[in-house]
Amino acid sequence: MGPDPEKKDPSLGAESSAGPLPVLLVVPVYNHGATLSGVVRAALATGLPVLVVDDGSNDGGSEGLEQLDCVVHRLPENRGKGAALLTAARLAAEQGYRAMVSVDADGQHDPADALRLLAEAAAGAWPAIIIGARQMVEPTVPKSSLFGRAFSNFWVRLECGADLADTQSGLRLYPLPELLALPLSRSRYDFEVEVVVKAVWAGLDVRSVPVSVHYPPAGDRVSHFRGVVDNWRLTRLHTLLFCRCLLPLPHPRVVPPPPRGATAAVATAKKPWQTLKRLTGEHSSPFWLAVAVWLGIFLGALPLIGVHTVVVIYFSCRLHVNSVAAVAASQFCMPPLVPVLCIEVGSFLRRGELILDLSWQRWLLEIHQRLFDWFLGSLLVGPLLGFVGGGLVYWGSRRLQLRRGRLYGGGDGGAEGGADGEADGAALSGVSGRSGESGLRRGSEESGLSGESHESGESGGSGGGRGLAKRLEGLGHWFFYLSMRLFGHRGGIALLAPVMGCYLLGSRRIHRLSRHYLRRRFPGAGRFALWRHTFYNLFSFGLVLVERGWLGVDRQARLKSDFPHRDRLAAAIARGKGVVLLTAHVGNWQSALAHLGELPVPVHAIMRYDQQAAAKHFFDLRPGPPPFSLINAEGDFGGMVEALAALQRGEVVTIMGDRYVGGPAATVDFFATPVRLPVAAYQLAAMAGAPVLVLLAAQSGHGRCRLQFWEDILPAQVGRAERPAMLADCAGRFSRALEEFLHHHPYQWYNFYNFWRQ
Amino acid sequence: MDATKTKIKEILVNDLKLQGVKAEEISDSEPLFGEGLGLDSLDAVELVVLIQKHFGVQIADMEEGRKAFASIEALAAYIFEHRA
Repeated sequence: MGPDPEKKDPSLGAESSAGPLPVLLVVPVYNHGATLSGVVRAALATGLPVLVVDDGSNDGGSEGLEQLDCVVHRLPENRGKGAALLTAARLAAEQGYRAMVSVDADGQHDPADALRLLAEAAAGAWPAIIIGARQMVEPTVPKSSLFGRAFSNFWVRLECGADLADTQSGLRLYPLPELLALPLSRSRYDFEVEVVVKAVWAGLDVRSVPVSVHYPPAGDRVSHFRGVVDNWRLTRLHTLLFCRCLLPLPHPRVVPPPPRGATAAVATAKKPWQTLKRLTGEHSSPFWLAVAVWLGIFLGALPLIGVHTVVVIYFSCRLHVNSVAAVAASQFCMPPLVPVLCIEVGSFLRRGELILDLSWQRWLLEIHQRLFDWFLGSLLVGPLLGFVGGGLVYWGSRRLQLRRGRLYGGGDGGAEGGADGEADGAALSGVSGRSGESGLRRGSEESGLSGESHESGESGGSGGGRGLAKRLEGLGHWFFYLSMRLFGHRGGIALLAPVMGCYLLGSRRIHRLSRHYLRRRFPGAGRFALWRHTFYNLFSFGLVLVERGWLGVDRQARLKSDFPHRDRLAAAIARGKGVVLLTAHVGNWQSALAHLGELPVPVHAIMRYDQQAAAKHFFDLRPGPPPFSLINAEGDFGGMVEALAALQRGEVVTIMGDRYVGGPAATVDFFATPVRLPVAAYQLAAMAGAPVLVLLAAQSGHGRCRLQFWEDILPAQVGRAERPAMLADCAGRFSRALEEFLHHHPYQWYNFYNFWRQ
Repeated sequence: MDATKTKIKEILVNDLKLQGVKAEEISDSEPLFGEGLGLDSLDAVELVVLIQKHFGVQIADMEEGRKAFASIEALAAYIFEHRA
């Protein structure tokens, strides 16, 4: 449908509009002469009647439109975009239109997208405001626009609870009677935010559909958005809306409220468990959980003695954040710690001195005299603690979410649960050295309890958001390393403990995965005992992660290691037949490898690609040459030919003896259950005449580890027929050595997957 | 060359103890690993050691090993080439 050539004097009659809903397309314009006629032409091509509202342009911009089949309404003076839109709305309503689509005159919107808005309107509830959410993917999109949009979305979400992708878009479909009934007071760029918030308050549905956007390169862009003035207007508007939203007064409605199902209230009272579940699940994206935690801590720190919980619940309901998280976080500010901190800070701010007298008299009986100090201090301590708490919660819940994403994203079964934190180690040490953006991003993608470094590149990215979320997550990592730097590995542990706690409480998966081992290691353990074991297991894993991170962060750091059997290794090497060092994913195995650099002969490690990546990260950061060279386990014959050559030169080859990832294997008993173990190591040793030393490193305290040989195996050179028996015998001895190690160090087993199904 | 091939076959049957196979039944072009004779990585290690022992030829990595282990013929050629 195009403009009707017959119609010389186009009228605004509603009957000429397309579709069942009489819709007018409105282009408010102020000094956009260069782009206006193009926009109007494209708008006419949609088949909708077009009204141009000239908001007092003084560049003669709307003069070139006489040839086009549109109506131009000129306002005598410039009163702002909001005023122009409202004028258009009034005109349109008088003509019998029921709805209007606004399109910016600067050419950033494609007027054809108006039809998408109409389609969305037809598909869902009506009346509704439909916003065309601009997909800002072009590189010419200014950063300030992206930030402004995220900022505006955030406040709109707080004020009215509507999660909208683009609250500043000028491409919108408005229902006219409802728009005109809204109590609007803003007339400039702040109009668009105000109308959204007030519409939601008034009971209107507000939805968005993705639309394209075109940002011309910076030089050609014409915008009348004046940085200081308009940002001030937006700030003022948000302040007003925010305060209004906190007031417990009803909002005027422009659509009749939905029939109140008596059911909702009854269900709440009758089913407390379901209610709690619903409340816990509300607004529970990581970011909004973090906001809730911030709010809870901030309010919790204020001296609202006796009414904390009520205030927190009130605010979290009003601001549409998760009330359970907010209340829980506010409990963190229970006396004495946080109030004392606040009072001390407040006292310092007011009088420049701390209260060092810790008597009852001063703190309890004179508490009323401390209230102002408390209040003042809480204004500083509350937000800061809130950021720490919110950051931690964001970090923890992002982890959970990422892992869930992976779980449902269908990673491959075997490696999926392969949680030994290699990737974590990589991330921890990887970031420390190069704290640049890429390091952070790498860290954020690679870490997570299930150390799948080589898959996480793809799946980790798909699990979560981009942009802001990424940066916030980077901030979380940065914070972790910062605290490690400032407070040594104790700082890391202090931060990690709550994260581990979150895992333990929040993830059923971690219990399921650790139980494969714990049930066999502690046969007969009850539910609660298993819980306790899981906690210790996880915490021990966390300690090793911190330990590795600490080694990466602090280049001066050295693990103090006891290696009582150093002589035996030296003696074995001296025999010149090579040595196979068999290790496992237990204890601080990477640190064990770090010690191999001190041997008189070269050391080779057979590793898969992901292990290599982790190990490289780890050792790249340590001073001096890497302690070993790598043999790729994914090469032909699993790198065995290369390893044999090394052994024959009298060198040392280290192999992980626990995880089976393909290649030759034997089935042996491990904690009384058959399991497949790799056997290449024994064949190599048999052929080279080398001994197999089972070297396992136990974490034995902060900054300490103990390396010990748990078994010496000398595989016999036998014929092909007897070979399976020989290999199974060796694997059995390894399995018993591992059992022995785990008998002494039950929580240092870090294969968080069903090891017996490998 | 032919003597080397025969010798390799004898090694396979006598030292590696391939069962149910006679030296003269092994064809020169048959792949040694996987499909053909059905040798695996454990055998590869053993074969490397046997070839060292009998011919004094070292296969130090799979760059060389890949072509040497293609068939009896390729292995014989490799040994012929690398024999001092």
